[in-house]
Amino acid sequence: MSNKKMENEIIIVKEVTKSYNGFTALNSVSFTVKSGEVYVVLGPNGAGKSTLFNIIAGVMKPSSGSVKVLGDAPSNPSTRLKISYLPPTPPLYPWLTVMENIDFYSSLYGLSRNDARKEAMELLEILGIKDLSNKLASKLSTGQGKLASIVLALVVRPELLILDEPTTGLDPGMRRNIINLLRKQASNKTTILMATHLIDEAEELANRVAIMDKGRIIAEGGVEELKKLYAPPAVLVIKPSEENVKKASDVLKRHWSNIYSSNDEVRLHTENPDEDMPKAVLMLSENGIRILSVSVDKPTLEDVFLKLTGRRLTE
Amino acid sequence: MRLKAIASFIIRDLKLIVRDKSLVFWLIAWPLIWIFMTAYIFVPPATGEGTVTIKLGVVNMDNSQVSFNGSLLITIMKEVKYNGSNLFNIKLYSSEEEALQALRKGELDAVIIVPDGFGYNATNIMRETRLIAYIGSRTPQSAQITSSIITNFFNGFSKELSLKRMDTLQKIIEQLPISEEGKQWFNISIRGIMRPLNMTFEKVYPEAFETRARILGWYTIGAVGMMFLYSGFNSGASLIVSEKERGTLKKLFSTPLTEGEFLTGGFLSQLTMLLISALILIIVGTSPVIGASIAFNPFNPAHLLAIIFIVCGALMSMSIGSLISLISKTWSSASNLATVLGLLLSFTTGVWFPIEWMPQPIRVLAIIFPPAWSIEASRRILVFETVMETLILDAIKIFSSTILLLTVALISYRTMIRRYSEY
Ligand SMILES: Nc1ncnc2c1ncn2[C@@H]1O[C@H](COP(=O)(O)OP(=O)(O)OP(=O)(O)O)[C@@H](O)[C@H]1O
Ligand SMILES: [Mg+2]
Repeated sequence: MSNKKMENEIIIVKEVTKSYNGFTALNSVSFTVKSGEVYVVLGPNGAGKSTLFNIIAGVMKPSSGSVKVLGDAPSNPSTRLKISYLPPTPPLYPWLTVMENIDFYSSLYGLSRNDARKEAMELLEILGIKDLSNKLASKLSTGQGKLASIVLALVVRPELLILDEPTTGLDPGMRRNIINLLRKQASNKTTILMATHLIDEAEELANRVAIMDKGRIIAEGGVEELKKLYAPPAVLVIKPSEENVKKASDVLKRHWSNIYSSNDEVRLHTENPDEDMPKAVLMLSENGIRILSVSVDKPTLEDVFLKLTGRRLTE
Repeated sequence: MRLKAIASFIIRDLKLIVRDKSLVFWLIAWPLIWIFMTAYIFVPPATGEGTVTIKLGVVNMDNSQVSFNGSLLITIMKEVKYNGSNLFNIKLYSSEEEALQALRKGELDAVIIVPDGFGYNATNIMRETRLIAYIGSRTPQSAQITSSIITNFFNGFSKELSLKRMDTLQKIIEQLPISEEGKQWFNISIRGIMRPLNMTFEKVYPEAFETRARILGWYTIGAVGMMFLYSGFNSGASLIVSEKERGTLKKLFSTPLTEGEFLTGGFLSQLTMLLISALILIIVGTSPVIGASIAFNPFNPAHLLAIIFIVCGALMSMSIGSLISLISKTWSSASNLATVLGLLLSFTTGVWFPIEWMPQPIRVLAIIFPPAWSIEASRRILVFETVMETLILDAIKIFSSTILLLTVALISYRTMIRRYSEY
């Protein structure tokens, strides 16, 4: 029984705290990731995602707390054999070609050159970037470097993939390709731990999401579960002209409490959109605020984050 | 320790030699520039068998109407040959003033004044002969060379004169009304008075400096040492901080790579680069283009020891580099410091410039700087052809300091890896 349970829990993080010279970047973080899960850590810049991932990948020591990966310490080479970690910046050697970078890293995993190359060619083919294989890493664009390093991470067929913002810097089409590729990996029993600040990516991929802010996990659960807990049934999204956003939000705040504004829009969390929409529009026009568009949207994880922190996840 | 992982570091970094031009510059081109400069400027091809010509101004004030006089001296000097060409290029001046002016302008190397009565004095056994020489000094070296050549010439000349006078004297003695024994005694005493010391001088160089080829051999090993110092310092200093700044260090330590494999792989790949470059330098140095002579015979155990000394020199330089990385925050500061320090030390510890050129206080550096020992010892083997027995003490010193420095490097690298995993 207990053995089965242990096998099932790929990552166990217990009360991990990390401080840099007195600044607390992680504050008593605990969670577990089960086998075959896609676990997404969502949080704004500086939330502590990369710090957490470094610790789980075994390349950084926590100040306190413990981490177990695949039943062992992540710093153990035999554990690392089953892990592949993708840092946020591509870890490529500029004087090597993409394929030579793959050769180098996969040999550290004890893979034969031919096997690794075959696997890599398949992945490059799927992503439609076969022609990059013989390009020097120093000649790659930011996005191409990112793609090459994703292939680098996947080529060793790990049991656990730790991906720190894998799609940052990619165009929407390529991001889609990557999401599909990761889905396929997950269906092949690869456990994926991924950090992002992109809401749709998290919603699309995650079995479970941890929302991080200021070094803490402030909410954790399935996407729908989180929305049910923290988000309203509907969101009224009002876009006034840009100079009026602040004024619009002040006007609306007189009547509603769940008003969140950003650069270009005001979001009104509502239980009853049919009633609130005309009311809001009327109030704004009475105050001389011109409205560019109004819509009733389904809530997203952004609204969960708004509800929990009062701030937007991304600007 | 997995050999495959270690080998992949070497393969990775060998590609760097082929693809990074600035690395090729520092590893190979820069030391080659020094070898070339030495071969064609400082020890030019004519060295040792070269010709020397001295531009000599002569003022002949001698009016002696005898068989030997100033004019004859000038004729003789014009005929003097050294290695097949004329030693003196003589120009006549009518006044001392005029000649000295030309000397001051640098048109001449020296001026000789032949005073009136020179010939008369020279042929008269009872008189002292005088000549006055002025030596110009365009450079300290040239003044030295000129004065020594002129001195030598007139010493020889003076000797000839003595012999001539002795012959004249002997003829006079023959006619004296004294016994044969008395004549004998006179002849011997005269000889003794004329030549109180019959000494011959012969310059003796250390065997190694006999030929230009050996001198260049000395410098070729020196170039290898110089390259080891700054490149070895550099690779030792960059080993970890370069991975850190490239963003590859975290990725590396997330793979099954162990710390030991990482350090061994990194160190061996850098060592391989240094040794390949050293081999290229030696091949070019001993090629006809440069013409250095380096003794090497793979069946001579002393020569194999020299190779081990060279490897130790590289390892020690890299180890010292690890200390540089401890005190510098960034890759570029580590690399700059390593290059400057490496060049400076190669110039001051007898690795490139002969230690004899250094002022006394600086020579201490060579005594306390182990990489210089290994270069010096390999030179003694490969250039001076020292025998095995004289190398035991060197071997003990070099091996123990290599082990010590490698240990220091291991500790400083571990400290750095710790430090980076805290942040
Ligand atoms: N080496 C370090 N020294 C000091 N502070 C650090 C260091 N690394 C991170 N921090 C701080 O710790 C906090 C968390 O950083 P971290 O990189 O983990 O955030 P993140 O969630 O990954 O952010 P992003 O989305 O921008 O990548 C930040 O406030 C950051 O400034
Ligand atoms: Mg990050």
